[in-house]
Amino acid sequence: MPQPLLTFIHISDTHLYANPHPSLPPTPNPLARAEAVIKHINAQVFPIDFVLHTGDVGDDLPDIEKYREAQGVLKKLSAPLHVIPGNHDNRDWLREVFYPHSNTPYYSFEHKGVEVACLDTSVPNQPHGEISERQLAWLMKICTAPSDKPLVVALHHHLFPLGSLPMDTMTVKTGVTVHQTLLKARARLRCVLFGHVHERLSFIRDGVLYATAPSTWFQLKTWPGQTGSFVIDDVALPGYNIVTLTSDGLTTVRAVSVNPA
Amino acid sequence: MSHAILTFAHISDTHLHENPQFKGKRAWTSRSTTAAVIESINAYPVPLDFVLHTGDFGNDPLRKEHYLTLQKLVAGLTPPLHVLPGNHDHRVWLREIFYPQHAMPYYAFEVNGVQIACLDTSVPYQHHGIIEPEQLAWLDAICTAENDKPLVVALHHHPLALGADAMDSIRLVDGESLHQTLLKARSRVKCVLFGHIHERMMMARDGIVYASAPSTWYQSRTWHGQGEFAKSEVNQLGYNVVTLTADGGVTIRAVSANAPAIR
Repeated sequence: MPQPLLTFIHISDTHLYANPHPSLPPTPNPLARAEAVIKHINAQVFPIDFVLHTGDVGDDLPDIEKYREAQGVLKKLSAPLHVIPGNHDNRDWLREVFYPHSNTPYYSFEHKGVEVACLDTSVPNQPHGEISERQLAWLMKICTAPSDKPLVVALHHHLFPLGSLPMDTMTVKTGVTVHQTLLKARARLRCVLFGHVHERLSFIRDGVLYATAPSTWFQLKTWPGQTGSFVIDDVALPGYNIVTLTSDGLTTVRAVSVNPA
Repeated sequence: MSHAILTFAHISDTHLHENPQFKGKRAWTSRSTTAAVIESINAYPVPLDFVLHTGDFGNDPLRKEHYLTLQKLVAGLTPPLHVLPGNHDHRVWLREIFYPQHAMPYYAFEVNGVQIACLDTSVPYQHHGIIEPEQLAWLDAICTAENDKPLVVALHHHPLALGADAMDSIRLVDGESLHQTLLKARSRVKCVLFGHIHERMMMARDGIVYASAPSTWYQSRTWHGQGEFAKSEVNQLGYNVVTLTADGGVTIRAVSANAPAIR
């Protein structure tokens, strides 16, 4: 039996402390939902190396103090937490509170021999995503390094269009370039994790698995050819993913739902 | 976006039974949950090219005629249905009722220029899976054909170990052979779809991505290091919608369905 190198949890889009969201019909309390997910993760019986949060930690928070408050909520997680900025985050405040050891809002870390690259695709006060030339050069360096360490990449936005008009106005503008960069590390790239879309879905491109975590708050639904505005999925529950990397090169992403009631 | 060349639903493990009240030890009859999923699929906002069912269509039917009864339960699906055998199916009867045009319980078909290979990993009266050498040779011929058509492969059992003892004791025993065969068509294999584990999961290795659909009935959960089977009371029943686009990409959307009001 191949041994697990690493097991971690992927969560996304906690959107603290939005309630109710101004642009959507009445939605549930994001704090209560985040707490239900945290409780569920803490109750898992297997060891968890860390929790990776792919952005929209906060929902347009007014000041850095609110990020400290949000950190207090997420600190209830038993496992260490790593976060990246989403379009509803202030990347400077987020970095200062959650990862002040990094000089940039993007960073990488290593855990048990696995390299995790956390991108910053946020653009201040814009819903879509971008990656600066400087960040792309940093990512290129990681992807072309003579390393055989397993690599996991995390970002907030979707790199590829969903064929869904409302969501596709908010992709990473240079998604194809980012994908081409990631392909340079194809042999060691285990998966690319993202959030933003509030929907459990995966892309497969050139053999690379891109997987979302659902929002811990509420879910949307898209479909190919969708036009019009966002549609709330009132059936799909919030949840998270369990990601396991094993020594034989296998990556397993398990979907977990959480009943917030 | 690059336009969709194919959009289909992946469902699995309906476990339909000749007894309308059959629900095993579960909260809902398998008929009622299947009906809920059919309703959801038929209401999907865009037309689906077909529905692909990765096995355990029936729950140990005792007679061929039972499959005729069960077939009526899915007759209301708007898109065409393609099925393959699971460990709770009788592969001969399943084939005779659902795809008599094929001589073998494994087969391939083509829609919109996409080739779909449906495997038969069932072993009569056993829960684990095997691909016989003859079938592997058939798949090998597909994978090594001079062909640039996108290829989707479907089977019932999980081909790679989950690290969970009980579930792995009923996996596809020669999954490694399957994986090595698929690698021969790596650039064409868009995804490999399976069921059996009653858990929504993605597995990726060597550029091949395997995706399960949840059962339409009840859900299980596994984790690395797990011993016995475990149910999930929270994970939702549902299905996946798989879209292949002209640029070579695949999108797999998880769709959850409400458990039926009537148990």
